Amino acid sequence: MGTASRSDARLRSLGLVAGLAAAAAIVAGGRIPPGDGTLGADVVVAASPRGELGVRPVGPVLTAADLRPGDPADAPSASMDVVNQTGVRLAVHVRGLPSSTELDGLLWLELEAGGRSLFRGPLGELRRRTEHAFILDPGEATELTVRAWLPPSATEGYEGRVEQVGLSFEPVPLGGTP
Amino acid sequence: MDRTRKVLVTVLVIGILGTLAGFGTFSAFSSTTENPDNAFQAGTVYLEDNDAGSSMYQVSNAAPLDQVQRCIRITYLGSLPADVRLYAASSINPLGDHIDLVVEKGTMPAGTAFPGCTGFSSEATLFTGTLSGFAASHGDYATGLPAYPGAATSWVQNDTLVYRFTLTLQDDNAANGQGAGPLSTGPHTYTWEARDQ
Repeated sequence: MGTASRSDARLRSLGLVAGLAAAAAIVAGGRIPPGDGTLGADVVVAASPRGELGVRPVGPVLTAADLRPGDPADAPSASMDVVNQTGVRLAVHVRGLPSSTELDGLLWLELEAGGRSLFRGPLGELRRRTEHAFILDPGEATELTVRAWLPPSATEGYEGRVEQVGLSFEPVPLGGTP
Repeated sequence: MDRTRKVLVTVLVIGILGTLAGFGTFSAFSSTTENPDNAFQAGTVYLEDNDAGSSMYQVSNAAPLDQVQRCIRITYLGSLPADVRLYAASSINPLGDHIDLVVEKGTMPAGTAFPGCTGFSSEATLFTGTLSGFAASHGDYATGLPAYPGAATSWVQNDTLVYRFTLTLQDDNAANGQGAGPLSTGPHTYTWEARDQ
């Protein structure tokens, strides 16, 4: 009788401890994990076709979420195909159409066409059409690669920003067929 | 200080204190609310083609039953849903009565350059008749030929549609200018016009 009472007491104690542990685990598991207190920038680069130029894919090409200052070598990148649908040779310049001016001096972009650099600099400079152009013969397609990053010097001003950058192609007929 | 001056100073002090008390009272019970960032932006209706300013065809010295086939790609870049109609507002010289015209809509690989039709896949025939008949019956937007990409009932941003034109000179001696010189249609223009729905 005395042994049974001690066993019951131990079992009750164990049950209490197990219940408290389970409750503590549930509470701890439900906690929102701590962050570093800052948001990165969300950047979407999209392209639209023109009468003279086909673009594949149409719409968002590069989507970079929670972008933070870092090494350009680690920058997210994406590619699209641009095809000359006209019957003449075209020199194609590119212009950026950002949705706001907030990241003009902070966000850097690099454009490469067919492996050759077309533009590298802050977003604001892409509001003017690129000085360099890529050449497309009639029916020819080339791969355009876009890279976006925040350089380490961008210490503030990007937090929580959402930027949509439209790429506008500006073809200039070079005259005649090759 | 005489009595009058004392009274005036007293009134002035009471007035200033009253004004301050009044301001304090009113500012404690004021409230505003705002509705910021209002804006109004118009949509767009905007069409482009891939001709880069070149004509689809300029045929000379054609023989009976000679045929040309040309394709043009129309791209809609506007933000508003739209209708697009094709018409020819130009007048056509009498040779147009002797040129058979078929206009089709369809798709084509992006790599096919203007005015080629390599890989064209027809979705529907929009017109069959003569060139003169086309201009006579489809001379403006109201009588223009409507067409939409695929089975769509409106054009939306970034839609494209390829139109194939097939022209054949009839085997008819009436098209032979003989001693008066070659007959010609004269220059004519095809127009695609978009209007918001």
